[in-house]
Amino acid sequence: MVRGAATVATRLVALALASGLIGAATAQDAPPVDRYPGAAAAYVVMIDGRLAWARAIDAPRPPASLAKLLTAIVLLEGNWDPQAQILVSANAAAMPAARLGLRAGDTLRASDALVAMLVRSANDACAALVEHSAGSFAAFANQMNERAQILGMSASHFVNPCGLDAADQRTTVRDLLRLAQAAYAHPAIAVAVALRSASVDTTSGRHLRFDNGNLLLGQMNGVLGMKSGFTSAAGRCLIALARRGGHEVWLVLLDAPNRWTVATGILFEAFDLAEQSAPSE
Amino acid sequence: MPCHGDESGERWRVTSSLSMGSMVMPSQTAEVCTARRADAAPVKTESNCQITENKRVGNKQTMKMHCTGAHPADGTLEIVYDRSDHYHGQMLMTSQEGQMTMNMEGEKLAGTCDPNAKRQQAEAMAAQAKAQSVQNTKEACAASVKGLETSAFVGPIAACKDSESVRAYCEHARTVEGFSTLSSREQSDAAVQNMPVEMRESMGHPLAASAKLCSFDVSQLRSKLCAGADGRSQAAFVVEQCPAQARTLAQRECSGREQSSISSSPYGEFCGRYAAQQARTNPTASATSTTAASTPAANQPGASNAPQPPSSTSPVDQAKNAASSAVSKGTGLLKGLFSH
Repeated sequence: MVRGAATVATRLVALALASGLIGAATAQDAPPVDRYPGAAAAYVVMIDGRLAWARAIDAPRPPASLAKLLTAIVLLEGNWDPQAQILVSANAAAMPAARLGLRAGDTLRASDALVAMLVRSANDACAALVEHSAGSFAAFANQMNERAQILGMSASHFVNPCGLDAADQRTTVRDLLRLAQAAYAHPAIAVAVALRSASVDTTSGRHLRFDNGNLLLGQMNGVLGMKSGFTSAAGRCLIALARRGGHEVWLVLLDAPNRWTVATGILFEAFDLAEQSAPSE
Repeated sequence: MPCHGDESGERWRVTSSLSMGSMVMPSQTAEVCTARRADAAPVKTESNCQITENKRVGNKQTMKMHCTGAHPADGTLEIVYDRSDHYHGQMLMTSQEGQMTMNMEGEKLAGTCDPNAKRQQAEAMAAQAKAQSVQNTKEACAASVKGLETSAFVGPIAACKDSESVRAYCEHARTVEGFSTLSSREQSDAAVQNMPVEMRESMGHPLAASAKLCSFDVSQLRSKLCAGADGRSQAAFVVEQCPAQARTLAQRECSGREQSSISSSPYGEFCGRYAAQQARTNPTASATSTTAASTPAANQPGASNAPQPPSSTSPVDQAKNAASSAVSKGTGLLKGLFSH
């Protein structure tokens, strides 16, 4: 026997002993290694269900628009009616960028607003949905925090449902990973975050087309999408999901100035490792 | 079963029962084929038992038996023929488990048989097993060549010693893909120290071990491969193994470009891997901000995915300032790469 159990076992032992690239992903219980100290203020990479690499995984950080994933979950698990007509308030229309360009008095379908919130990260669509659902940001944030607790996001607290910076609003990359996985389980969210572009029609007859803010979509083979975000306090943020060759990689980056390029490289290297670690027999 | 070939043997049905102390095993019956010779013993023997001092005087036959294997034993056998076609016998065996007695009764059957058939069958099976083993080794070595399993070629469990396998392994090791693979498996000294001593060479330093096996110089081969490497199709190799080439390429293909432009170019993978490599090796290459989440920021621009410059007081800028003072000259090339 040359390439039998003994050889493979020895290889696995050696791999488990190594640090950096090999170590974390092959030892189930080993803490994730900070392989990319220069990538982001906080990040986590999960490869095939295992936390492979991370930095400041439990450090409190502002969530930016990544919070919209929780907003979407709360909306979809509430009294969700995709055909409901959402009235855009003056407050919603005045939301800062990113915006869809909705005007006060516009109405649009709830499902369209949800897509705009997830694809364009449109704060006006987000605010309209939140106000329609709960009446106020504060009431909706309470629902978000209740749902976050159920999801096990114990280090998170949400104040602004659209992710705008707010005092006492915080999350961690660990919690965001959990959130992203829960969100992706909703088909409406999974479909929306994979769209490279979309459009909505308001009842006043305006046709609004928009592109996905996730620049990895369609650019890197295997990226299924997820969510990007930016605020001055949070920095440039990204959650990405990619599947390739039977392997799955989740990536959360918080405050990563070079998020798109570095995310591309990390995903490539994660798939390299997944290939190396996979049983070859 | 019909007999073929040499049909000179005699067929005997042998019933035996084994007892050890007060324990008696159920009797067993087997048919044996014995050569038609005066001293032939019509008893059932295993292939790992050898008969010696076989003598027949009158109607009494005695012999000694020595068995090896998992249950070695020595014994003496005495059988008495009460007729030409019937006998009673007893074998006394001594083994690690103790003394055993086997009582036997043999009865000659009608017809003939091939006394060599069993041996030939065993030899055929052995030959088949050997051929299968050779084939298995060949296939395993081919897989080890493909997977660059250094331990199959170097070290205590190396089983692929044939020149053809070694040549194929070395040929693979000398390629960009092979060199990259072996290099990525090189372990740190600390990790190697935790490995079994005999595995340190092949598992801890597979590139060095392969260089020794295949008689190549790692640096020279790296230079040669880098000279011919393509940053588009061999991005990982160029980023990891050819730093000077990678810097030049990053400056030319990645710096100052928008993500959409990078991704759609043939150098998208290279730019990504280069950025990741820089983030790996240079802690201040990208971001080091540790802004407390609970700190409210005044006049926030709001959530946006559109590329927009951070405010002058943003943590990103702080990180960049820190980075600019700490990063040595190569980082200058990355300015464009790490900013929008």
